[in-house]
Amino acid sequence: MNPRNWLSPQRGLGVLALLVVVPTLVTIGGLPGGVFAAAVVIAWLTAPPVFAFVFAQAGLAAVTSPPYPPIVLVGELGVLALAISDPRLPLAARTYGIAIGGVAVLAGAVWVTHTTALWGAALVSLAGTGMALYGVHRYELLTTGQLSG
Amino acid sequence: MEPTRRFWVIAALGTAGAALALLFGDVLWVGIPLGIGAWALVEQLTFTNQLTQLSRSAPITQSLTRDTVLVDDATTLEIRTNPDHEPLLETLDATLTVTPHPALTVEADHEHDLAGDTELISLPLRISVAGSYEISPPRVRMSSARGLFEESLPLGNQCTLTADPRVPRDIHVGTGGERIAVAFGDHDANQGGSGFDPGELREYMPGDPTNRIDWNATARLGDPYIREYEAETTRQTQLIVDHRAQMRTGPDGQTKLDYAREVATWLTDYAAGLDDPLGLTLVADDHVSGPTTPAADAAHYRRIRQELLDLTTAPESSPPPTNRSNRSANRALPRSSRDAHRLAAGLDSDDEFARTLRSYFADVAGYVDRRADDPLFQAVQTRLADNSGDSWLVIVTDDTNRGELLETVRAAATPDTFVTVFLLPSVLFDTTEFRDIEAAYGEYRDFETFRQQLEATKAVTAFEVGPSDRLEALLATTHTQRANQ
Repeated sequence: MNPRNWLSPQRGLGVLALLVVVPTLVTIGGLPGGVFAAAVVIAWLTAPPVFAFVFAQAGLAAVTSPPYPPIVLVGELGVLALAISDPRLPLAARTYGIAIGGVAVLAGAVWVTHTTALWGAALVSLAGTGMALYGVHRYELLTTGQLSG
Repeated sequence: MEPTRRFWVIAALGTAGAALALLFGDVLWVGIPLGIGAWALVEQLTFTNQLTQLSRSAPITQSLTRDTVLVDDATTLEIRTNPDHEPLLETLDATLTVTPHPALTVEADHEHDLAGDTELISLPLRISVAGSYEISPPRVRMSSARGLFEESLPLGNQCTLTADPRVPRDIHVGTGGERIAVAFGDHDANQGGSGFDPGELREYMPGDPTNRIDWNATARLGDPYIREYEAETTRQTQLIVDHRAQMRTGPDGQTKLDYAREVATWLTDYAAGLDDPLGLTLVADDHVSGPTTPAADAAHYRRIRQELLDLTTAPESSPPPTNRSNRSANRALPRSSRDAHRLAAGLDSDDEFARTLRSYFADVAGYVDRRADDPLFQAVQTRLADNSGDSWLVIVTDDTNRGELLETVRAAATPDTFVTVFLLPSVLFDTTEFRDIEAAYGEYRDFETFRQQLEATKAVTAFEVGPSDRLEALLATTHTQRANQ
């Protein structure tokens, strides 16, 4: 890992996220939560932050069950911060704004949908993410002049 | 933008999260595809911004060291990265690929890693087929920060490479730097006769055939009139082409001989168009070859054409003299035998000076013998001896052996023989650029004086033949320099 990245704002955000996620997991999950927290820290140190996010989200899902305590919401915010705290991605307000805004809308839709049908919520998350990625792909073709007319 | 294998692995991870949500009946697992989606979206948006920035600026420029070359010549395609964009290209792990036209041979790797410190990539190019070729902007393959996406974009400018065939392109035929539009027209016999083009009317004379009376004119004018017609004739043409060693001077494919060949081929076509009997004589350093008896059938013209196309410079029997030293030598050569006779006749006084000089002019036969050894002189004399009636003698040569050419032309020009000389000025075929423009212009003026000297002979026309661009460059540069002074 490039030592310069350790000092980046994204790393700072990541450390902050860990300070939220690790205690949350340990508090809610006890020993199993601690195991997940250890996995999160190891993944964060050795792999792209997205893997730390996957362990953190899986840990939260594994150690909690509905009805969720309010602390889960705090944990979720930390988990989301972990996902986007990649030092290789420059911190641009517009980019992060669009990504976080888009995911927030999707999360809202998922939350609304899951009360009636969980499979609907799963479908919304996958289809929504796919459509957002495809939309950006089309936008890229347009801005780089690869689309005629 | 193309998703990579890594993207699909991450996408599978997100899908697994959604599946676990259904398996455990817990909506929190859906957070995995959402979080991965957010991360991928940030990476994709960042990558898109970077690509947009690159495609709207000029991160790479490509240029050719020479954009006009001759076939099989080499040129170099130089690709430069803009220093301002280097960090970004390095971040994107950019690889540059050159996809040249199939006719272009790239004598280097087609792929170059832009992540290094390479600011300049030089690709030697060679082109084997004449034509104009667009060299597309180089394609640069880039990948996003975490390698989820890849994109290949044409970055840089397009440039055009022109490959000219190795033949003279723009031939100047003219006099004194001025191009002539049409050198020749149909030739008539300069006498009345029974041709097809109406000529003048004249009064009927006893003995004139009655069928030549122009009855319309007779009725109009009241007396019998005869309508004369322009008689047309064919003219025997002798084409003499010099292919001695000095004719190889000039850049490859644009030597004096290449220009001489073009002119001679054109003359062959011209004679064929007029059905003029045409003969060809080739002058080498130590012999005269290929004298063909003039004929006017299609196969004969074809044979002459082929012989001209196959013509190469004759093997060098001795090193050709340099232009400058040779010209000095030519100036020192004696003048014509006619001049010698005239000068000798002028020494009619009986003083010591005249007696001394008279002995030098006494043996003019020796002078003629010496000229008879010159292959061009020999060729012309042989051709003229075979001729009967009016003929047109065309000599295509250069200005290296001026004395020889002048004597040859003077000996050949008779009332029955018109001589046309197509003369290649050596100064226009020097392979070096005009370093000393004044000296080059001096040489050209010297040539022009010589050409005028040739034309001063009765029944002789002399044209200069050479590369138009070099002649224009020489004259334009000289004019500019003089205007500045």
